[in-house]
Amino acid sequence: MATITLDGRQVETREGENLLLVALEQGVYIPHLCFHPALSAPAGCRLCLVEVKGAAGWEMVTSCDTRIVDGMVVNTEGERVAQARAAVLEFALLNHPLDCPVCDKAGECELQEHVHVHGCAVGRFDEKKLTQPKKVLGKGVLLHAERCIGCTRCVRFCDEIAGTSELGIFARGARVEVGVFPGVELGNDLAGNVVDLCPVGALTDGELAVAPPAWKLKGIDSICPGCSAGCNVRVDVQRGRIFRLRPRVNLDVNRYWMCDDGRYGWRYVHAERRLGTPRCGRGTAERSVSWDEAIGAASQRLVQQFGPESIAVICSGFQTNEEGFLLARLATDLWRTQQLALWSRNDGRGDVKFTDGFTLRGDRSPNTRGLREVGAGLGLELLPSEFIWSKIERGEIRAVLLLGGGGEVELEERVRRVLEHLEWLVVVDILDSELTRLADVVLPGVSAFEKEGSFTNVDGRVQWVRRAIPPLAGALPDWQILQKLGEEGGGEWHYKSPLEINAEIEQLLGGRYAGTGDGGREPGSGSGQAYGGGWADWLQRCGFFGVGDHTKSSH
Amino acid sequence: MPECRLLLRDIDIPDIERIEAYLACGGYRAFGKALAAGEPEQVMAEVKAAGLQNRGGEWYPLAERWAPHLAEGVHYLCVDASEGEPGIYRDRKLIERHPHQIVEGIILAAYALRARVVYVYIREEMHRGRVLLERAVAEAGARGFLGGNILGSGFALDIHLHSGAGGYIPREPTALLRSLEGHRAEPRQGDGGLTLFGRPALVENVGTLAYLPHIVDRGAVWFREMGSERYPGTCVFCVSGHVRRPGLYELEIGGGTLRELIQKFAGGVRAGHELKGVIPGGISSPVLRPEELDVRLSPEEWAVPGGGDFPGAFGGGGVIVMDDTTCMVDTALNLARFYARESCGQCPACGAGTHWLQKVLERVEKGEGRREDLELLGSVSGQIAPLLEPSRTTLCSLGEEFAWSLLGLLRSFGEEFERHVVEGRCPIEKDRRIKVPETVSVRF
Repeated sequence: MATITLDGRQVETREGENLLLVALEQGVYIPHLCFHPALSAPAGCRLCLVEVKGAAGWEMVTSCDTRIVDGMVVNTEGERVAQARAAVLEFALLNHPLDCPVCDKAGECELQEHVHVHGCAVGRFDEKKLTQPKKVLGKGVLLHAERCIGCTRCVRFCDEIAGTSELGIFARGARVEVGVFPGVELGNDLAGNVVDLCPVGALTDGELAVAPPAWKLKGIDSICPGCSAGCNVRVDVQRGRIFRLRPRVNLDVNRYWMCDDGRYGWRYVHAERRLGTPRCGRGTAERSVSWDEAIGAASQRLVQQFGPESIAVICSGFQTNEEGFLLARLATDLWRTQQLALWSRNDGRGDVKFTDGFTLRGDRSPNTRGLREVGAGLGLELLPSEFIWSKIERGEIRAVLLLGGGGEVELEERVRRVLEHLEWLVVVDILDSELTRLADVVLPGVSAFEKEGSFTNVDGRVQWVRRAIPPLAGALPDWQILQKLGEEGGGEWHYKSPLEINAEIEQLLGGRYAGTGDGGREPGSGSGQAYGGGWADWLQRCGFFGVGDHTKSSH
Repeated sequence: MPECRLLLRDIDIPDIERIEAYLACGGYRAFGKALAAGEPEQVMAEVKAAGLQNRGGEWYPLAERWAPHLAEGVHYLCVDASEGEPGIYRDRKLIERHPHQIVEGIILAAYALRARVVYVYIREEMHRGRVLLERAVAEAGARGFLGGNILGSGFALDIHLHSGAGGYIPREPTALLRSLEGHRAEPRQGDGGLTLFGRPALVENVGTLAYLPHIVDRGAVWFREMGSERYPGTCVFCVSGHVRRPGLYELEIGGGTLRELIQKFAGGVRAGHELKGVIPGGISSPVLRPEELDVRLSPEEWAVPGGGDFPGAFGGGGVIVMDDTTCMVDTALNLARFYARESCGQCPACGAGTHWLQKVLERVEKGEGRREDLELLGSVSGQIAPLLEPSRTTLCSLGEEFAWSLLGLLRSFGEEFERHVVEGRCPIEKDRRIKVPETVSVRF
């Protein structure tokens, strides 16, 4: 233990801790640009200077690379500190184009924020600013070199986290800029994180160039459905549209990062081919029908025409635990079949592990483990899809309810033949595809961004998924569809929300599943700190002035 | 006060760059003695007793800096031969003219520190020096002074030469080490920076190590007879600029004054001209006016040279003398260009600050300055660093040094800056041509 005096206040902490982090934890905000808690500290931006009492009086030190020593006396607010901050910010702004009105980072720019609080309103630099053209670094990441303040967060990220080292610092003096080495492009699977890391608008996401400004986006804390890792994300939306996904800090799951597959993998949600009405009939006989008619038709044939032995239910791993619960009960209690299978997405490349341990999971379905566990709780073992396919081929299974929900589907030749073989196929999915065209009844479902429930990640961590946007008009979340099918089959369920189903899962499984529905926060989604725009969101949560506040006050 | 040549003692001997001539002058005798004694600690003890201080401009006692490495030894000894400050050319001449003295110094240091590998980080611009030093290393190797099991003692050492990629910043040890590793030459903060390939490394200035053969050969007591109590020995001054005899002058520390160095040794300014200003200790030290030159040539007396209220820095012994054909705004601009170009750009205060000052100075020199520019220059420099008071807005001292030298120029020649603004032109009849000296101090 160590006791330090922080701005006149006694603070208990541990010897050797990072001074800047300790101050932040204590709610003392020391501005900083190059520092990031997951990266090495080069102490290059000089913005986090504070005064520490030494043998020869007060000494200026960079707090980002100062370790706590017992008895340390720290002053973060003195006049000398204020002067140093103002000076550093004036220099950082020197060649920085003040194009904030057209900059993608405006509203969540750390430099903008720091200058607003610690800087000087009027610049004294009267010379021509250095300008540089915009460049593409790779994977849609644009470099506006003139905005770059040389903090090297992105360079260190590629060195220390991704381990791919595509980026470097080029030129010297006032002309330093980030760049890729000749013949290389920024192409690693974590590259999108450099846009979040950039404290200014030097690295931007080309696809976000036409998105609304940051202060018009609403962030919803949720879980990425891109793979079984369960990265904690914030979904930024406006008027029912998703604009971007950014990682939230969860040191136990994804730390500060997310992969590009997850970051950019949501676009199917707004695809033209989204299904908005239930359909019956194949080929030329296909017609749009009402929900009641579709549910009636689907259920009736499944239950009445085919016996329990010849029907199967197949889920995709994109169902929540709550949906899995209904699905299992539908199969066992009402349809009297044990033939529940999981047709999971797996692109065959296996887990991809990066230098700092961040892992992109080979199982691209977000809830494989949860569905297995919920199924097991109800006495059902999830069968491999292969088992069902061969039974269909042998004519033993003749009717199938298949739930998709995970974006684009490409059918393998064999699977297509197998499905064609079926006498009755009911598909719940979100995109018009080869699969839905094989179906006798198509029920439009929703993506993971349009529903609530919990996912269990590959490590068994149960995390609550929040609804980021309302379901597409005409489509329904799987749990509602399953409830309709269940009630059609004679079940008396009447669940009003996934929370109610969650409560039953909690009773059934307890343990890790206890309390998951509690406001969508514990225990799944960690601290809830958001990354992106640096620590700005974190500050908001701590009750500090945040990104939005200053920008919003001008609107 | 006569010159007191130690490092320069043999520099004018023909062929001293070859090992035969060096051996004939007693070369490698010190190393032989050290090996015969068989105790690396004895070399350390001698250096400590001699009170040898770094001559690269920092003036720290070598023994103190080396002490933490004594228990374990140090794996890498890195020798800083990347001297690149305007007005300082001592190491270059020592390497080009007297490379074996350097090689012997390096071997002695490596022996004392029990280093396994030596890297000499040499500025590629000193290409001639590199070629000569490489030959000297090869000659020393052929005589058995390098390699495995040196002269049967069991001591093994290799010296590698590494050419820098150009730049002033590797004079910071941490930047030099990064450059040696193949990274950008950027200074690092804290002790973590003083490693090479993950192992502890020691960086020492090449001109400092050149003293070791003399100290080991003739003893600490003899060495202490020269110089002052706190700063024993000699210092090699590089006098350049508008003097009649520029060159290297080796004087006892504290043995004379700056005025004597310029007038007596360097011959004063050219006939028909008047002394205008002197940048006394490397370009980071604030400029002195002609009436401020009566300061003894010893670091301890340079806190306020000339007895005024003017802070000074002894630096690395570079003395730039300017006569009345020099425009001080032009001088400031020249320095600004140097620092703006050489800044690594990590810290905004140095990277952007020097660029800003350069732009303002360009305007003032062209006669397009405004009255508030003078205040701006002072204010911006003060923001980078108040005069000789590290403000820590920069990681290393490069940015601060320019702030100091500009503040010095503004303080001593502020009225000349003002005339530029008021008259709307440069009021000085500048003569920027390279002046061919009448003669030089050592053979070139």
